[in-house]
Amino acid sequence: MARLVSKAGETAPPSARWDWRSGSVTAITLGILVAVGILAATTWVAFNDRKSVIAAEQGKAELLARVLEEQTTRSIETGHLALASLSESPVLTAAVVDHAKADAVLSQALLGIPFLRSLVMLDSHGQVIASSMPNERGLSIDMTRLGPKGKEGRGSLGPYISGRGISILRKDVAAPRPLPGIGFIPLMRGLSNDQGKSMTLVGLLNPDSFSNLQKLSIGDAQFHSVLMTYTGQVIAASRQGNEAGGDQLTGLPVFKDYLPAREHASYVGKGLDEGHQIVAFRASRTQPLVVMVEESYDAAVGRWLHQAVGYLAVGASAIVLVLAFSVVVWRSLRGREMARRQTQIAQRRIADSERELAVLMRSVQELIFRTDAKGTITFVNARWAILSGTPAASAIGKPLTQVVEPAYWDAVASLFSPSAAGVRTCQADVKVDGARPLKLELAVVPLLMGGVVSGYAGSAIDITDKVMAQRQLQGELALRELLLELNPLPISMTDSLGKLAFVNKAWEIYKGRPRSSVIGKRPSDFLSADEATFHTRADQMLLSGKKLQVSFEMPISHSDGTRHDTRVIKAIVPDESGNPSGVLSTLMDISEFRAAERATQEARDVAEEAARSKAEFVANMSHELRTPLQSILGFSELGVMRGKDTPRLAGMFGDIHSAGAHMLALVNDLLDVAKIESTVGTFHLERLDLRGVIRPLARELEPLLAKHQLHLDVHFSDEPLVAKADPIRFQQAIRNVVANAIRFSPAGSAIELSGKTDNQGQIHIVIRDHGPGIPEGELETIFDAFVQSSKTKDGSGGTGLGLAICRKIIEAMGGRIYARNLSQGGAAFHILMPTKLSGDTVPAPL
Amino acid sequence: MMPMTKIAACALLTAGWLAQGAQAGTVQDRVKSRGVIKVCIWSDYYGVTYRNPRTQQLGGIDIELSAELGKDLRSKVEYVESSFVTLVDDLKSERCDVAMFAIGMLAQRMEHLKFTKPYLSSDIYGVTTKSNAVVKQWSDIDKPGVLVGVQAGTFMEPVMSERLKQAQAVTIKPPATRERELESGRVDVFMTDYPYSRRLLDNADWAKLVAPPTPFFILPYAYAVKPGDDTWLTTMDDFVTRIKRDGRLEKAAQNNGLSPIVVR
Repeated sequence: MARLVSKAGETAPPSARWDWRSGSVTAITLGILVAVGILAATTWVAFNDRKSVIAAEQGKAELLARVLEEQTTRSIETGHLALASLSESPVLTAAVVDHAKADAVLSQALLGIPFLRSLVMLDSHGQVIASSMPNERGLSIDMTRLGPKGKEGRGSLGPYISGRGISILRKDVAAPRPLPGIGFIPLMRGLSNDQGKSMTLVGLLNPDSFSNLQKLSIGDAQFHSVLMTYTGQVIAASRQGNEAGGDQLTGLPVFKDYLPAREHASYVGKGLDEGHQIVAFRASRTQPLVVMVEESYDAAVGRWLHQAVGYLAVGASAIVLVLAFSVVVWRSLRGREMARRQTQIAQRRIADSERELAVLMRSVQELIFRTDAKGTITFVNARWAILSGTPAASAIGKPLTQVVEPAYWDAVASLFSPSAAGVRTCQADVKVDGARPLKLELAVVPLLMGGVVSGYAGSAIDITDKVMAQRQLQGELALRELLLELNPLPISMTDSLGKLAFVNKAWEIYKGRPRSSVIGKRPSDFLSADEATFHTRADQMLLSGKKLQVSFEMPISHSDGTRHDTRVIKAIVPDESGNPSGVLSTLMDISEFRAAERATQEARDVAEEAARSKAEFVANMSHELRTPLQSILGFSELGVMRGKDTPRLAGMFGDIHSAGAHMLALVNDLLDVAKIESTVGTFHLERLDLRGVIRPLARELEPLLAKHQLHLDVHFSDEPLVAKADPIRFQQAIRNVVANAIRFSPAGSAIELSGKTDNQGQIHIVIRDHGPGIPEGELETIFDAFVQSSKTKDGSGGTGLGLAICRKIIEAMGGRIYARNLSQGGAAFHILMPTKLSGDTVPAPL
Repeated sequence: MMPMTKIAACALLTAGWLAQGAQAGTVQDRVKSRGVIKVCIWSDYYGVTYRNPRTQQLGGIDIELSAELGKDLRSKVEYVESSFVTLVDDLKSERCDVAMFAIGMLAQRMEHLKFTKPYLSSDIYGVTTKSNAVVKQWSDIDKPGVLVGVQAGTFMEPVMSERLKQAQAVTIKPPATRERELESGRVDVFMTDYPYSRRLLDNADWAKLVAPPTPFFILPYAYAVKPGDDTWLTTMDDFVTRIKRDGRLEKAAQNNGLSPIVVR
């Protein structure tokens, strides 16, 4: 199952995957690419269209400028032509002008020239000789305001003058204020009359007719135009309000950047209005006039946008459609891909499950089979081959009853009884060729199809080992029971309720009660109250889990009516789950052991008393012996001193004194031995550094060493040699050993005393000499009382008790002393003392 | 409004009074005997009696209605060139039997001629150039220094002379035309009636019509006959009544864009 979960975890959800090779991704990618393509194409078309629209607008402006320039130039030229014709009129050139006729000629001429407001003939002083407006005749006007007059026979064009007629220029009286917007441009031609007088014909061009001309030419287009003089003075404009006649527009690029080098051009830039303008201009080919046409660039772009809305909308719609179609296709393909992927995953899972099931079936250690309704095998798993040693295919078609031993045919046949319901089980032996028969437990379940049993599914468990184990267990249980039964110790067991569950034969004999009378009863039912209470308390303590085992001694009543000291050992008996299920009690009669123990104690007490008496006797005797010895020594010494004059007597006294001294030493030693062995010589142990005990001793022995020409080398380690010892006794022991060494060392040799702590934590003190050494067989006996080395008992002066005292002192303080010969000669005495570290503490756990 | 009403009322009364002394039967008899009815027209009257300069074909409401008159009287229609200046003489000299070109029922005319019941009526309109800097709306007309052109012989001439307080009326006589005078800047605006204004609006894109914000001077139009022939006048009156009733007037007016000024 864990494997399945793990596999499921490894399988990413289909939606989280993004396979670039999948159809849906290709579809959406293609859709986006097509949409981007349409967008690019639409943008490109729109850009070019806008460019061409601006170019077309510029072309239109150029065309309008050309048309307006042509019309204006022709009109002016027509005016000049009319003036030229009039200048030839004999009525006007007559020496004496008939004013009425002249007026009529001028009025008549006006009929053919609609853009001329009036015609006036002036003499050289500015007096009106004739006019199409008869009321102007005789006026005297300021000719300088008409602008530079053309030479005779040639025409000229004047500036824009506000006012309706020539009377606005009269000199004699102030002219009335002209109406705003009403003005004229003088068209002049010089002539001379028959008398050669210089005259001027003036035609008043009506600016409004040019405005109207421009307005008509432009029509409803978004353009507007202005007619200007070559110096930038406005003459007429197609619109009203913005440019008035007489305004100066010299700041335009037309005049600053183009004229006079270029007479016609178009550009996008500064114009009459604010912002970018599409401007075209053209200078008149014969007149000092310039026509300018312009259109708002933004308005042109706006119109282009208005026109482009159609295909832009089509483009946008196409993009939306392509994207929508792509999304629909993508969703559809993605849905199919997900469905396919999920199907694949499901199939893979099924295949995995089947594979796992097959593996499971193979790995099952039980025989699984299927039979038809009559019990004939139709399927077995691989376990068959292991159990029977024949291929699984060989089992197909066999009745199940024939597989088992004949003794079980009926039992197996009953499994397939139509009347039985639910799971049917039985046990049967199966004979396997060349092997021991197998015990199988068979179980079958009917398979129902439409309420009718169509077959059976079953399993067979090999319980051969289980049966064998049961038998072994039974044997072991019987053995255990026998062991308990034959055990000489009385044994009983109580259950968790405190009732007796088992007693052995020894128990029956010990207590004098047959088991039938006590099994199932509580101890209080058949024991004395105090004994029962002991048992019950101990059992309760064990059952409560406080202890697993308890033992105690108590007098228990025996079948013979006496009470025997008995050691009771109780242990908890756990059940399968480890919980206490009962208490096993073993009784051990220790009454004889206790009696022997008491006898031994008494014997030891007697022996100890005897030894103590002996020691006290020796001590008392020694003390008693020393008193007379003091007298012998004292008098012998006196005798030596007084018998100096008598050498022989002095020698006798000397022998007495020396024998007395030897005897005193012997008595002292005996006293020491006795003190040590008796309670009289009590040791006063204390913690001390042995170096501080030995060093004063070395100094004390220096005179003796010097006497024998010996040298004592003392070497101690730097660490303190702390031990629990009696300093006086320890000094006594060391003194004895060193005195022993002094005694046997040849003169001039050295005695070495060293002390250190060995690797076992003991204080190791060694005293080496260069004497004759000790025979190997006597290395131990020299420590016995009154024993001396055979090599040294030649009168070295020892009592034979020194080393015995040493050993007793050292051993009394927990130490050990022994002797070893050195390979290079001499002997070494080793003293080992247990270390007592500071505080005498037990190392605490960290 | 008041002056217009007074003039119209006086014109009608004068016409009625003069009609009583007229002789009966002459024109009608002549028409019947000849089988031809002579109709005076002014062939420059756009929308009314207008000769197309390109095709020389006559057209207009009164060309259509005169044809209807011919049908009613079972006579052939013969057109006689006339004008407002020559109208009285042309009728009195019997150059024509009836004048059918939307003749304004002015008192001066009613003194000399007889009029049928009015079938059209028109206000006075101003015409100027689109680029005109002086006159842009009706209120700009009667201002100091403004020159207002009126066609000589038309009813505008006396009306405008009387009405203008500050501007100056300029009478335009042939060969000068109102359009030429306006174009050359000798007048700032000229006055005309509804039918003529239609022509400008239809064909002259340079012109701008300046309409009065409220009725200025509404003049009824009718057919004129020479005085003293009541029978003929009655015949023409009956004709007017008939075309009003049977829808021929309405249809002809619609054909020529004059429906707004039909007198129903």
